[in-house]
Amino acid sequence: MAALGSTPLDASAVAAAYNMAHTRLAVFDAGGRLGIWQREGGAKSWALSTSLAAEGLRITCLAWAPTQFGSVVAGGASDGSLAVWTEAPGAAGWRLAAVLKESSLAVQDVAFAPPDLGPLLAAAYADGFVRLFEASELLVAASWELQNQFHVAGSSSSSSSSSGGAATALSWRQPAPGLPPLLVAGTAQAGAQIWFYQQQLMRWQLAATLGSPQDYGSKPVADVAWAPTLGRPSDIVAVAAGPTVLLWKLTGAADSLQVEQLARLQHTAGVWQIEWNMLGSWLAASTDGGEVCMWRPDLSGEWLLLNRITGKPGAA
Amino acid sequence: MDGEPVELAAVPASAGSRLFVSWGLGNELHTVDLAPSSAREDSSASVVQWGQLSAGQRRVAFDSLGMYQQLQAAGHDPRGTEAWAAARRYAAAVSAILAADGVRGAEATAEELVTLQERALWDLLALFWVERPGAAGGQGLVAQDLARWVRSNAVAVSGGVSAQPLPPALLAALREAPLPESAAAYWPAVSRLAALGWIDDALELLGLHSAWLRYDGGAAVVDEAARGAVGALEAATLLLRRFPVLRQPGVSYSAGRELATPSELLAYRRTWQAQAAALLSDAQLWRGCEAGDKATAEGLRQLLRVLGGDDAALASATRSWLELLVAQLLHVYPSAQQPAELAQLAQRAYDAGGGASAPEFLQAASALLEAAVELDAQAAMRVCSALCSEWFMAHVPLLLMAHPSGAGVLAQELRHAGGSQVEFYTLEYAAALAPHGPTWPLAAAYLAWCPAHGQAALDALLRRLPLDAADAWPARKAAELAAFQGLTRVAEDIHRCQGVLCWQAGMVGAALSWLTRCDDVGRIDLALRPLADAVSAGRLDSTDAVALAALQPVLETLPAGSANAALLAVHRLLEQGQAAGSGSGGAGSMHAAVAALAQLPDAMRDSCLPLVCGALPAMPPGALSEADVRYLLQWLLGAEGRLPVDRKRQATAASIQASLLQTAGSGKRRGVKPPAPTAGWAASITRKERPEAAAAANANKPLSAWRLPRQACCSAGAQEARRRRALSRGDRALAAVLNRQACAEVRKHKRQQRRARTQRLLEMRKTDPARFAQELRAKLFGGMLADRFTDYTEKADLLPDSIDDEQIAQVAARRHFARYDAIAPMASKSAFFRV
Repeated sequence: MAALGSTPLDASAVAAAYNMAHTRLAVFDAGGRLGIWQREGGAKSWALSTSLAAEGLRITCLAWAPTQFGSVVAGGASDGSLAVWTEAPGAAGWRLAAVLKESSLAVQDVAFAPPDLGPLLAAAYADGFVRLFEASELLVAASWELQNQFHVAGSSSSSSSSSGGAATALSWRQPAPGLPPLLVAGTAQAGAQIWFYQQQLMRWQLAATLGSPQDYGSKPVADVAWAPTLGRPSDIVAVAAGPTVLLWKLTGAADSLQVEQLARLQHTAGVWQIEWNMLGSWLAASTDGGEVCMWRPDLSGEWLLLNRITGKPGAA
Repeated sequence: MDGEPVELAAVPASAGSRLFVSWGLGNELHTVDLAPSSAREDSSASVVQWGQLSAGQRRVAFDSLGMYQQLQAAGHDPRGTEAWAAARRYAAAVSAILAADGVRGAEATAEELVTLQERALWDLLALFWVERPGAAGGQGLVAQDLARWVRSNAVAVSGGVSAQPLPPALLAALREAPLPESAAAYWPAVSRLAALGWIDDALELLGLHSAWLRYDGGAAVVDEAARGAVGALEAATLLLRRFPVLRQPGVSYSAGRELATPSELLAYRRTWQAQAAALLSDAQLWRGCEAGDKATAEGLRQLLRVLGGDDAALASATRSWLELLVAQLLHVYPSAQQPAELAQLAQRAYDAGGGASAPEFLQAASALLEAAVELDAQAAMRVCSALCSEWFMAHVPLLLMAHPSGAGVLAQELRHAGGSQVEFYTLEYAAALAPHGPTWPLAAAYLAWCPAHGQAALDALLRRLPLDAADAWPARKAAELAAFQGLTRVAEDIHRCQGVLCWQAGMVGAALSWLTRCDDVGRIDLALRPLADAVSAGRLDSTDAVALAALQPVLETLPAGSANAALLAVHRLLEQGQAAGSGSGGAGSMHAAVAALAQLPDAMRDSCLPLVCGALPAMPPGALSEADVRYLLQWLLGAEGRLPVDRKRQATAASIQASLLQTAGSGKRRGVKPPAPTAGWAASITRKERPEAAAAANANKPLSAWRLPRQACCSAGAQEARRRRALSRGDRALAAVLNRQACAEVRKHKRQQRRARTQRLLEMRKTDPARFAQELRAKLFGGMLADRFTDYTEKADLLPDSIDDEQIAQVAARRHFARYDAIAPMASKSAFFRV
């Protein structure tokens, strides 16, 4: 029914990220090296193009910058460092271009903003801050500066973790005319929050909270994913906490969002990652049990678990 | 939740690991197993794709696009006759496309069977929603329409070539056999063919009976056994030849008696069945037949029971509930009309014919027939969605919407999704097409017909396409599609991404060309920075010079606003001015250079100092206009004060002074009074002192500081020796003059080299375009220029044997899209323009 292609990565992967076109794969392995893998054409296999040492950083999350900004990979480390690797044009290859250290607590997630917002990188920290770094140049920038930050407890100046706990996950909304930049941040203690950037004040403001901690069984949010909107009348945000994925429907303007719980997708094991497909019609939820559950609404809008992909030792 | 989820795939993963997932284009999911910290096992990256099209399905997909677009573009009112006629043409064309491949071997492959089964379902839906059974002169009678449907889809209905009522292999074997009637399959086949209304085939089989050959009525010794058999055969054959059929426009029957109206049919049929019954009870006939050939007698009696509508005979003659239904309709209920009678008969046949244990297709056909009888489009869609491909689901709504009942249901907006279910299934089909190189443009073509989500979905698809610096086709195609659909920002982004990829691959020319298309001045500026830096620092090596010369055509088309491009323009104009000498061309270039210089931002203009300082001393007298001289003097004097304090200051300042002298000299000849010296180093120098200062500046500069190539150094060796001697004598003025002469000679040499290189390339472009393209592509442009010389279709013909199948498929797809491109303008009436 499905065609499958697998490539051994010759290392134990700790974090991974694909670029938008899925032609490149960045893998950070347990040996402390960052590998860049290349996919040729539409093939189902990958070839290692570069491997470089991460200079002692213990990367836990990776993200590719949009293609418009050149080959740039950002990685969040457990010691609070944010590393940026860039590939110089021609045959010069990859190098560690910058290490940004704004906190001593771990970086939990990194996410580049949609390209329309420029070379902007958001990072969720265990100290509860979401920090935004802006590149000095449009192409393979080596210099990144802290542009803005906010704390998931609700203040842009909180110095320590408080009611929201750690910021655990991030997901940007696709930009749209008339909408300010929006992102959803997952927290360890306060569920998920929608934040928007207020241009006049040049700061991020909390737009809405998606449910209460009880909605998530008081479990920390493991991942968040903002669905591509397409032509839908409302936005959908998925939030994973424990074995539950909650789908939230958002309507209204950014500064007066109305939130409604759309569906509750239950799993047999904790969900640690969720991702929408290109059209926002399928949601893949990866569980601690090593399987991927694929959900889709039927014609009546009821969400159904239609497919699974399982990870099995020795599967070919 | 309806049932258990389907396991799509099992991907390799180490024990206890978690799968990192990422969606690719459409129906493609990437996974990497992330190991727990204690694990030492290697991870794997996997790609799972589903719903992908096979080769046959791709052909169907490409062939059917035109029909789909044509029908969509027509935009007929479903209640009008035009809509019905268009839907009829669409149904017939798509059915023909599905049947085109047929069965190539002795038996249908699984893929061929799936396609034929889809065609069978398509035809069934077309029969009820478009043709309306019994409508074409049948006055509501469905028997013959259903029988004709079963016959034209026999392989699908029977489940294979060998299972159909008259397999070609069986017919061939019977034709060759001396006693065909003794074959085990002979009489069952005759009965089955007659039951299904395949009268001509049944007659052919009866004609193969050996009794016809064995019996010779005029012979001296008559074969009595043959005589008995022939008597019965003749009677049965005659009856079959008179099998009553209703005449229908556009349908020809090779056997049977055609009747004009249902009432005539029914009246005639009563007589005809009475004849069959009389024949069956003709004891003398059967005694004669049995005496010679019992099997023939039994076979013919079974045939007559079938023709007489005997339930048991029909059941034993047919192989499935569907065949039983058709047999009952033909031989028992020829006047049955839909919906009430047909639904009831179908249910009865389903129960009696073992429908519950039938293969999946026959069960689906039952459900579909039930939906079709009621004209329940929603139920039909539900049935099809469980069995059929994404292609089928995307195309069948247009068929169902030909009937007002279908249009009403399928065009309704799904509140949660924001679009209709027609669009829902079109998006699903696009998702199946999207991950594959040859078919993604098809996905884009279908998305153009999704009024609610199409634009955004096309935007998402085009932005995620895998672009490649070495292959410009996907970017060009994607940008064209985006522009065609009015997605100008997407087109710009595709140009930008391709430009960045080319830049990243070191193909500056291609990068500039792509970035120019989206007017991305910022990235153009960054892409040109290394060259501009080299120029402004005066360290332009021979490779850079070649690159700059080759990039010249692209540089001239760049959008305004790039400071680095402006700097390179200044450099080029200065060089041109110097090269052209004092003629009108030289003066024009110098004037343009000064004008370009004036356009630069201050910092950038100051970075041109070495460039100008290098150019001015070598400038021929009279090359600059009065206004240019004034401007240059002002700028040079002002720039001096802005110079940073570092080790190079002395040398650069000396260059400025030398240039000032030259400019002032030029101005003096033209009667220009130089502006008063500004404060600083230059202010302490009187006009009288300036020649000495300039001479001192140049004399102190070793020859190597001019960055002369080795060859030029050698040719200037004599001057160098004289310069050294002059310096040792303390004659610094002479040393400076010698130095200038040497440098002028070197510049001349370099100009000649550049001209020769350019000439060689120009010659090569005329004599050997392929090599010219290859050389440029290899050095600078990647595939950009080469693509201007060769078309993809030509490429396909030139493909060497070493090219693998995948690449050939890609080229073949592009050929397809030559056709697609011809079709594309029809989409100008697409949904985007209508909403």
